[in-house]
Amino acid sequence: MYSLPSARRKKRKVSNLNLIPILDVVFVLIFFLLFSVQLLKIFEIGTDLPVFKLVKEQKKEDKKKFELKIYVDNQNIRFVNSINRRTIDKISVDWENEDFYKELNEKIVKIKTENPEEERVVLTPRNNVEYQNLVKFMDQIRSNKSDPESKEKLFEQIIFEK
Amino acid sequence: MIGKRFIRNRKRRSKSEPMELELNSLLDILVILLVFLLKNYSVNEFELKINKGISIPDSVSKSMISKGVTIQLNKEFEVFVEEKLVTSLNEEGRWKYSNKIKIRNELLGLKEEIERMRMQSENIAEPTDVVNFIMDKEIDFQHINQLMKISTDAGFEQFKFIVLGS
Repeated sequence: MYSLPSARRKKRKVSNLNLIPILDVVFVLIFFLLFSVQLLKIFEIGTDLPVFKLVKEQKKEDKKKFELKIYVDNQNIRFVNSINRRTIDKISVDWENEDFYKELNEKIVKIKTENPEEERVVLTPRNNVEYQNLVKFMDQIRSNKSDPESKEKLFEQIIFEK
Repeated sequence: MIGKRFIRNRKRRSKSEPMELELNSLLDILVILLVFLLKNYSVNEFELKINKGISIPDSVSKSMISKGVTIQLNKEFEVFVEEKLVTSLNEEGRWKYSNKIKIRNELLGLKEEIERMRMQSENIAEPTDVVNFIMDKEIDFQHINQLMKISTDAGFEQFKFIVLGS
């Protein structure tokens, strides 16, 4: 019996894909990326202006009705309008409690909605406030936690005053 | 006889095909590794070296770090300017006049050097007045305040707190 021509073709071996050049490229890429990888995600929080400059600028600026100043210590946080020196709001501090941060953020959002044009906040922390707590506090000032999709910052400029 | 047997065996050996390496599984692993590394690829043109013993605070900030002079302060109250140990406070973390002067002089030297390099390269856009603070999260604000005051005296006008993204 003669085999059909189609049956003869089937006998041919399927050649394997040559993966070695791809492997070479991938190896080179991996070495390059391993050298430039940043395993720790490091970012920054900026304070753009020094305190003494702010005082000079304040004199030059048109008469403002509102400027937020926040007094921070380990017992209370006091929000003050530094123009008329009136206390706007106050909150008791509990750095370990998540509800405290939620309440704090709500208060800051409220102040921002009442004064949408204001972008600057002056911080006057007490000497004994821990750096980690201060950073957490600054996070609350800068971003709206109740609306995570909102990319708008609350108070973008943070200035320290002593 | 022995020679004939050897020739017969050689014929048999030549019939067996060379073994092929199975590279597919290796390639799979490398591709996964490549994706992971690409995800963590940093586009920053410079990197910050954080001294051992400093655990920086966590933050939700997403601002990329910018070039500047780095001041580091650890839990043992040792102050490093550009990775060089400049001074150490006493065990209680009290600031003496000599501590302040040492840091100020170091910063003034750096400021002068930066200005000179800036004039030579004519790259006016490059910021020269940024100080990156890398400090332990347990440090009190009084130390941050002191370092900010000293930096301002030395002519630096922008301060950046280096934090760990969460």
